[in-house]
Amino acid sequence: MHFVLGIIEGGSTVNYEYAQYSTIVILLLGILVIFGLAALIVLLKNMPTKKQTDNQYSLLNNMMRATFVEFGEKIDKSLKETIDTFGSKLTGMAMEVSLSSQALDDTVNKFDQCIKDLAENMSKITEFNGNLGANIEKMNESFERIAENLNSNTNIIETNFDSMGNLSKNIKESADEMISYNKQIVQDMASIVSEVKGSVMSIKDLGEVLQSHMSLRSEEAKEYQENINQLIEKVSGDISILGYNTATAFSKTIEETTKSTSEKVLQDIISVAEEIKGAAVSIKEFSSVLKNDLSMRNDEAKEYHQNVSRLMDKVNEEITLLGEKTASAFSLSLEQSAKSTTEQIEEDLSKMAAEIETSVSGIKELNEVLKGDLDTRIHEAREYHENITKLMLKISSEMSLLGENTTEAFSKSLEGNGQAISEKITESIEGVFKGFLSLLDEFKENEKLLAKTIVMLPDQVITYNETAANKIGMQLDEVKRLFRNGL
Amino acid sequence: MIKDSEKLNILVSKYDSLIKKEPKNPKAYYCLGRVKMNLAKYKEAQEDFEKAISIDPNYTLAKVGLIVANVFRRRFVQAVNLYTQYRMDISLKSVFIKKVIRGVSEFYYYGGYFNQKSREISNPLFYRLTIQPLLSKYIEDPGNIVLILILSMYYMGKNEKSLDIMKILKICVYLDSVDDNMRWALLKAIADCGEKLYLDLDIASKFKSIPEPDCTDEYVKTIFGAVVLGRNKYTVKNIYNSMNKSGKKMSLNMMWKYVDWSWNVELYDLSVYECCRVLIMSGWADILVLEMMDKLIKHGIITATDEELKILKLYGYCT
Repeated sequence: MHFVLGIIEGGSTVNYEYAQYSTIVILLLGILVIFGLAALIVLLKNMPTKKQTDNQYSLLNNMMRATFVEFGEKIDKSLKETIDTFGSKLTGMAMEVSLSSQALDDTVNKFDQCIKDLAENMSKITEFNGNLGANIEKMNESFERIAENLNSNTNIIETNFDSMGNLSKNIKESADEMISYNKQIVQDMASIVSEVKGSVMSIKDLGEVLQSHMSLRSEEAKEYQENINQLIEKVSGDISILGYNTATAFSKTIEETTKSTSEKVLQDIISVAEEIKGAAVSIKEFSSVLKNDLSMRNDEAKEYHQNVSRLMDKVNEEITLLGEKTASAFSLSLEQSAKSTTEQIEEDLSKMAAEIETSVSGIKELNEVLKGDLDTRIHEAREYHENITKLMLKISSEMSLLGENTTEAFSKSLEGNGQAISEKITESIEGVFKGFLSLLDEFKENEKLLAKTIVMLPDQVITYNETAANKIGMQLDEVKRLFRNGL
Repeated sequence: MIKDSEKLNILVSKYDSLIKKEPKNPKAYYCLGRVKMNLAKYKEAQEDFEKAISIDPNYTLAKVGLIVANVFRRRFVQAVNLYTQYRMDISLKSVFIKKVIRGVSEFYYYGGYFNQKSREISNPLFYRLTIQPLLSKYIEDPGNIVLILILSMYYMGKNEKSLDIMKILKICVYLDSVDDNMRWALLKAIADCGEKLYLDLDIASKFKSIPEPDCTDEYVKTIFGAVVLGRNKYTVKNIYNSMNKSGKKMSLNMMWKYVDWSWNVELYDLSVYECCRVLIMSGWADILVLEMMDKLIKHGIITATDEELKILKLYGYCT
């Protein structure tokens, strides 16, 4: 048995041959037994009478003996043949097995592997039905998971999009801030530039103003000079006019004074004469009256007339005398007063002349002084003007220098500051941008990945569906196959 | 199959020495015959198989070898007759049938006899001496696998079309163990006859490798999709390797299926990582791929690159 088992283990072909031989032997033995039993039954059924029985028994005995002898011989022969064949074949097999052990090693291993695989497959097949439901459930679960994943992916994508939106908003805000900052910088720069421009303009204006002021001043100085000249001229003119006027006035005064005096005298004389005439008239009238009276009183009038004539005569005389006396007195007084007045006038005039002379000399001195002063003033003004011009030039040069320096300094400072600011801004912007760029890069990469994922989603869904459909199809086919085999 | 002639010659000398030692060993003759078949020494192989059968008349593998050797010697009628003669022995085990089918069908591609450009099959003598007896035999014995295979090869070579021919071709295309190249040719021939079976997953799942001549990328995809539905690691790996060998690029869809299959059969290797890597970098980052990547990293099979880690972290893995 162990030998048979060993052969079975040795190979499927040997096992098969042994099984064949054993089946043939068993079949032969079975056939022999059946034949024996059949013969016995036939003999028992055809049992004869006692007489016949002895003969028949002897015959039967003989037959049986012969049959059994033959049967035994046949069995012996067949067994011998079978055993010989079997033994020779077994020997051959054993030989073959021993000879082909080297070649069979692989086969044995393969067979072992096949048996193992078969065992695994058998166990798997038994597990299959159990697992089928579980697989379907798992599939459902996996589909749910896929759906959940899709949902979660969608949510992630949504959140990512939100974050993208936020990021873009932040970037926009940052960009706006940067723009506003840049705008502020530009505005500041513009204001600085405008201030600088203003300063330069003001400096220019100042220069211009100073120049204009200086020119104005020079003009003023000129005007002043002209005014002074005019004044001097005027003064000289005035002085001349004054002299003339003074002389005129003096002569006029003198003339007027003489005239008025003579007129006064005349008027006095006239008034005196008038008074005298009045008195004469009154006298005449009195004489007339007296005449009248005298006529009436003729005598008396006569006398009186006479007396009055006489008086009149006397008065005439006296008046004439008075006139003579007054005229002489007046002419004397006049002569005397004229003399004194002339003297006085002369004195006054001399005084006036002296004064005028002094005035003129003063004016002259003043003029000279003024001239000198004006000269000095003009000189000074010139100097002043020159100084101012120089100063202005200096100022302008300084201003230009200052402007240049200021501009340069300003530009330098601006440049420096600008450079520093720009460097700082650049640094900060670079820093910010680096961050942004890295974020953007990351974001872009993520965006790319997400975009790729989004792009892939239809393919993924198709693949999931395809795979699921194929798996279900396969499982259904297997179920169908099982049913078919079962039926 | 060993193709290195040097190794095959060594094997020949070994079996020769074995035969000298044991002249009554049929297996030694059988093995020698198989080696000579690989060396394209079909006549010698036939003689070896015949010797093996003469030593052991029940040696079915030698009978199978003899049929195949006759086919490769273009003695088609003899091969068909031999199958008729040994049918009972061969049909005892499916492995014998499979060996017969595989051996005969390999003749279509490796023999090169039934090419459409072949003049021999157009020869009237060939028709009269070979095809006519075979057709008359087919009427008598339509279940003769060798006969069906030879007739289908002939019709494919002749590019003949009819419903009967399509029936023969369809029988062949659904047979297990038909050589992949012949199966692909059968599919094309059936399609030429008017029935397109390119989407038949049952046929596609029977492929053991990617057929060499002009197999479309689409059908490669179908084969791969059908194969990964099963759990046979050897078949899938063989398909995967033959794809790489024939320069067929795996689409993302196929890669995902491969990852899915690997997950189900618990296969964690560099081929899975390669697929995961391509999928992730392409944006195909679903839970399966990410979990697989996580598992590969945790199992120490791979060390993820920074880029991969970045993506994994983006989705909440390897944090």
